[in-house]
Amino acid sequence: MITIGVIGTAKNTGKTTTLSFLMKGFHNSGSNLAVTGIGYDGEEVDNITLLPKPRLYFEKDTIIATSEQCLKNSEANYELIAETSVDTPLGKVFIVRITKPGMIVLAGPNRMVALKEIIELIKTEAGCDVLLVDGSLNRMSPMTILDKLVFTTGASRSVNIKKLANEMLLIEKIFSFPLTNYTNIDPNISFFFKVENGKTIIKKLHLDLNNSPAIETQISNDVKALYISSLLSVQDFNDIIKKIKKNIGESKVELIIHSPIMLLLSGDFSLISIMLERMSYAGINLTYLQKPELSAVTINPFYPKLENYHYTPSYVDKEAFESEMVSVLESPVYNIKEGDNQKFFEALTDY
Amino acid sequence: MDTAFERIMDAIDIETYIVCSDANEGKKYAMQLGREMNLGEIDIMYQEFDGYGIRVRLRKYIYKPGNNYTYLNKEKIS
Amino acid sequence: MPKRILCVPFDPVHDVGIKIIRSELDKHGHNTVLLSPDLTPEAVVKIAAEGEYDFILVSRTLGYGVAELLARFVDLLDVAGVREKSKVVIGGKPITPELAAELGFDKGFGEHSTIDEVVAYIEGREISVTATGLNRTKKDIASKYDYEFKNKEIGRLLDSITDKLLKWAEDKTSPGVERAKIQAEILAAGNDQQRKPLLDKYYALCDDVIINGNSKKVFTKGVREVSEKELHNLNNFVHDSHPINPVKIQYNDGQPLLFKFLGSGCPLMDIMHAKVCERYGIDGFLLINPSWEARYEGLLQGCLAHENDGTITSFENIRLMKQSLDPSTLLTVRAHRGLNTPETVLLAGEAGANLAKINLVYGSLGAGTDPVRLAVDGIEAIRLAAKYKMPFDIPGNDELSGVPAWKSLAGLLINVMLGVKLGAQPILKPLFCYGPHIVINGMMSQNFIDYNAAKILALKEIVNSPIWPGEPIAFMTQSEERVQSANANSYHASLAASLNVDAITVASTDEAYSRGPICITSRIDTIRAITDAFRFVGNAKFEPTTQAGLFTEELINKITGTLREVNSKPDLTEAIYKGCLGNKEDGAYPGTFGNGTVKTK
Repeated sequence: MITIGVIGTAKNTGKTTTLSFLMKGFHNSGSNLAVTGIGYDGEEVDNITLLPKPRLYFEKDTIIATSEQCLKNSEANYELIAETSVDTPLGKVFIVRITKPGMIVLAGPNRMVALKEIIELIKTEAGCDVLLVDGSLNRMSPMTILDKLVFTTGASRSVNIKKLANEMLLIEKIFSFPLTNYTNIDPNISFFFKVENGKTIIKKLHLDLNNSPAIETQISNDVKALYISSLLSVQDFNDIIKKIKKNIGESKVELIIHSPIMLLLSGDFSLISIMLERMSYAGINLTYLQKPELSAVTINPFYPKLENYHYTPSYVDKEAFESEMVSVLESPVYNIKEGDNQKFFEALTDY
Repeated sequence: MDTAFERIMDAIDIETYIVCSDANEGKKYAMQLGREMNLGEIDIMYQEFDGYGIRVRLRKYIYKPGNNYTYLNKEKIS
Repeated sequence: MPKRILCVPFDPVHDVGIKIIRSELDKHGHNTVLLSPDLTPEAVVKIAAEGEYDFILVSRTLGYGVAELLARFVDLLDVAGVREKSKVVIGGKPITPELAAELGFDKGFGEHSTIDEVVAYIEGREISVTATGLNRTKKDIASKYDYEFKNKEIGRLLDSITDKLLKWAEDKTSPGVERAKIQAEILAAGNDQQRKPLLDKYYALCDDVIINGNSKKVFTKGVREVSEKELHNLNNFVHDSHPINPVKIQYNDGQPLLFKFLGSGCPLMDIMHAKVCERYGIDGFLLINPSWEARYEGLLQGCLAHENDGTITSFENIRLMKQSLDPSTLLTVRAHRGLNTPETVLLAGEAGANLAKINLVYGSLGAGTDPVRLAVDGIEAIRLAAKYKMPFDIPGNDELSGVPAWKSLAGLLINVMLGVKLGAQPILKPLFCYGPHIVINGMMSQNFIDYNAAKILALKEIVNSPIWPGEPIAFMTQSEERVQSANANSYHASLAASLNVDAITVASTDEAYSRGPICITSRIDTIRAITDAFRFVGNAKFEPTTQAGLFTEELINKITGTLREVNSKPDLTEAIYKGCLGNKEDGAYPGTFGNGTVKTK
C-alpha cells in the first residue's frame, strides 16, 4: 500500500481540494482507496474564519478512518471494518467501508504513532492499494512516515508570491538531501560513527547542547558521522556546525537527522536557509533516517482577508503565482482548479 | 427615498432560537438564515446549544467605521 | 494515582483559567507544574521532553495566526517524542472538540466545559453529561412550615372569619362542586359503559359550549384537537433530545425557586418552551388557562390547542404537560377563578400536577366570579388540594386593580387559615409590583425595595408560612425594551433572594408586549438575567432602608383593621360584597359569573 500525504504550509492553501481531486482520480482509476486525516476536515464552515469550506464526498467502497462523532453525523452509509484504540477529541477512530456515498468529515489520528497504527490496521484489515492522508493547518509531523507528500501552498500563507516561491524552494531543497547509508540505527538514541583501527564503530553521543565541553570532547577528527535523535532548533544546528568545524575541520562529516520534517520544524524558514548554507560551507553532508518523497506542489490563489474583524474571500493573480512557482521549482506545480491536472495525478501515481 | 438598510446606523442584530440536533447543525442554520434573509454572510456573535436548539445572536454590519454613511451625506435627514 | 501535569499558559493575559484548573488539580492530589507565560514553544517542548508528564495542558485564546502557532507546537511535541508519553490538551474560550481535532490535540475544553469535566478527564473518569436529564431533585416548598400565627390577634380574627365561612358553606353546593364529584367518578370508571351515564350527569351541569365540544367535537373558534401525528412528533422532540450543560439558577440553596408561566394556547408550544426553560434552570411552571374557561360551566376534554392566550385546562393537556416535564419540575394549575375551580383542582391532582392556585377573595373581586359561588367552590377546591397533597398558592393580583396591599394581604391570610383548617398547604403569594395604589400614594417613589420588602416582612411577622412572590415579580415595572425588562426582573429577583422567600414567578421580556404570544428567546432573557443576578448577590443582600420598617408596621396594623372589618360581617361573602377587602374606589368589583347558582344541599 502506498501512502500519500497532503501537507499545507498554512490553513486554506487547498488541502481539501487537492485531496478531493486525488480521491476522485484514484476512484476513477479503480484503485482500492483508503483515506484518513490528521486534523478535522470536510466541515461546511471554517472553525476560525466562518467562511464556507469545500466538502469531502466519499464514493462507495472507499475505506476511511475517522472519529466516532464524525461517523455519527455522516451523510454516507458505512460498515465497520475495525474499531481502533486511537483517541481524538471527537471520540475513537473507526475504520469503515463506505456502502452508500456521501459527505463525511475526516478527523483521524493526529500524531505519528497513532497514524502508524492506523496504517498497519488498514493494511491488514482492508487490503488497500493507496492511503491518502489529509493534513491540517500547517501540521506535518505524522506525515514523516508516509511514502509521498504533496505540499499545498497559497496566498493564505502570504500574498507575496516571490516569498511563497522562495519558501517552497527551500522546502524542496530540504527534501532533496538523501537518506543515510548507515543502517541499524536506533532512531531514539544519538550516536556518532568513528573510525578506530580501520574499523567503523558506533558510540553513544551524549548530547547536551548547553554544555559545550561535553560535545567537544566527543567530536574528534576521526568522527565520520553523527546521528542526532532529538529535536534541534536552528540555533542548535548552528552550534553543532560550529563545533564540528572547530574539531573536525576540513574533513567531510555526515550529519544525520530523523527526517526533513524535523528540519522544517527547527525554526523560521529564513534562518533555516542561512543555516543550510553554513552547513554546506562547513563541508557537512546532511542526510536523513527517513524521508517521504516530495512529489508535487499545488497552489491556491485564495486567501481570507481580515478586515474589521471579519473575513472575506480574496485572491492573488493566479497566472503570476503559477508562473513564479514553475520558474523557481523543479517539482511539478499545479493549480487544481485550473490547467491539466491529469498530469498531476499521473506524476503522483508513477510508482 | 433611501432604503431601510441605508438608514441603519451601523448593524442589524438578529436574536433567535433555532431548533437543531447539535451545535454544528445550529451554526449551519444560523449562517443559512443570514442568506435566506438576504443579509448575505453574517457573524455569529453568540451561540449556545442547550440540547433542544441553539440560542443565537447574529449580526450583519451595514456600515463599519470608515465607510460612507448614506444617512449622513444629506443636507438634512428627511 | 496522582497524575503529573505540565500547565502551559501561552497567553500572558488570559491565564486565569489554567491557574484555576491547576489549583483544582492540586486539591485533588495531582502534581502540577505551572510554567511562566513568556516561554517559547521550543522551550516548553524541551521541558516537556526532559520531564515525565502524563498531561500537558495548554491555555491560549485564539487570534490571527495563533492556530498555526499551536499547530507547530503540537508538531514539535510529536517529533520530540513527547506525544508517546503525554496527552496534550488545549483549553480556551473558543475551543470546541472540532477545533481541538483540527489543531491536533488529544482533547479540548472550551467555555462550556466545567472544571469537573477537566478533572474527570485527567483522572480517566467518565462524567455523565446530562445523558439522563437534569440530575436534580423535586423541591418541596411547603412542608417545613407549621403555619403558626405569631401575630395572635390576626390569628384569632382569621380563626373567627374562617369558622363562620365554613359553617356558612356547610349546607351549600354548586354545579362546580357537583361536577367535580362526577368527574372523579368518570376518571375512575373502567369502561365506556360505566362512563356514559356519568357523562350524561356531567353534561346536565354544563353549558352548551362544553357539551358541543366534548360530545360532538364542535369547538368554539380557535380551538382544535391536537393530532396523533403532532403528539408523536412532540414525543420525539421531548425524548430524543437531552438538555446539554443544564444550568442551576440558584447560586446557593437559600435562593428561591424560579417558576414561569405557560399558556401560549398550544400545549405543544408550551412543552417545547418548557423543555428549553428546564435546561436553563427553571424549577416549575404555572399553567395559565384561557379567560373564557372561567365563564363556562364545565371543562373541555382532550388534547386541545387554542389560538389565543391560555392553554385549555383539560385533563389530557395537564397530563401531557406533566409527562413531558422532567420529574423534578413542578407544575401548578390555575384554579383561582371561574366556575370550574374544584374540578380543575381534581383534574390537576389526577393528572399528576404538583400545585394548584386558589384564592377565594381575588377570584371574586378581580377575576369576575360571584363571591358566593367562589366561596363554595373554593372551599371544595382547597379540600381537594389537601386530598391530593397539592400545596396551593394564593395570588394577590387584586392589587393590580388598585386594591391597597393590606387588603390584598388580608385576603391572602384568610385563604391561609382556610387552607390550614382544611388540612392543605397554602402558600402566600404577595405581589412584587408597581401597582396603582402604590403609584398614586408614592410608596415606591424613593426605591422599589422598601415597600416590596415590607410586604414580606409583615407576612413573616404574622405567620410561619411559605412565601412565593409573583405574579410575576416586577409586575408593572417592565416595558417592551428587553434589556430594561430583563434588568427589572433581575433586580426584583435579587430582592426576593435577599428576603429569603421560597420561590418567585418570573415573566419573560415580552411581558409588556400584548400583541402576540411570548417567544422562547424572551423567556431565556429573564432566566439568564436572574441567574447572573443570583451569582452577583450570592450570600449578600439588598438591604431596605428604615422606611421598610415603618411600612411593615403600617401594613400589619392595616391588615388587622381590615380583618376586624371582615369579621364584623356575618360571613366572608358579605364582607366581599361590602367592599371590606376592596371596594369600587379601589377598583374592585364583586364578580357575577355563577351568580345564583349556589344551592342548598
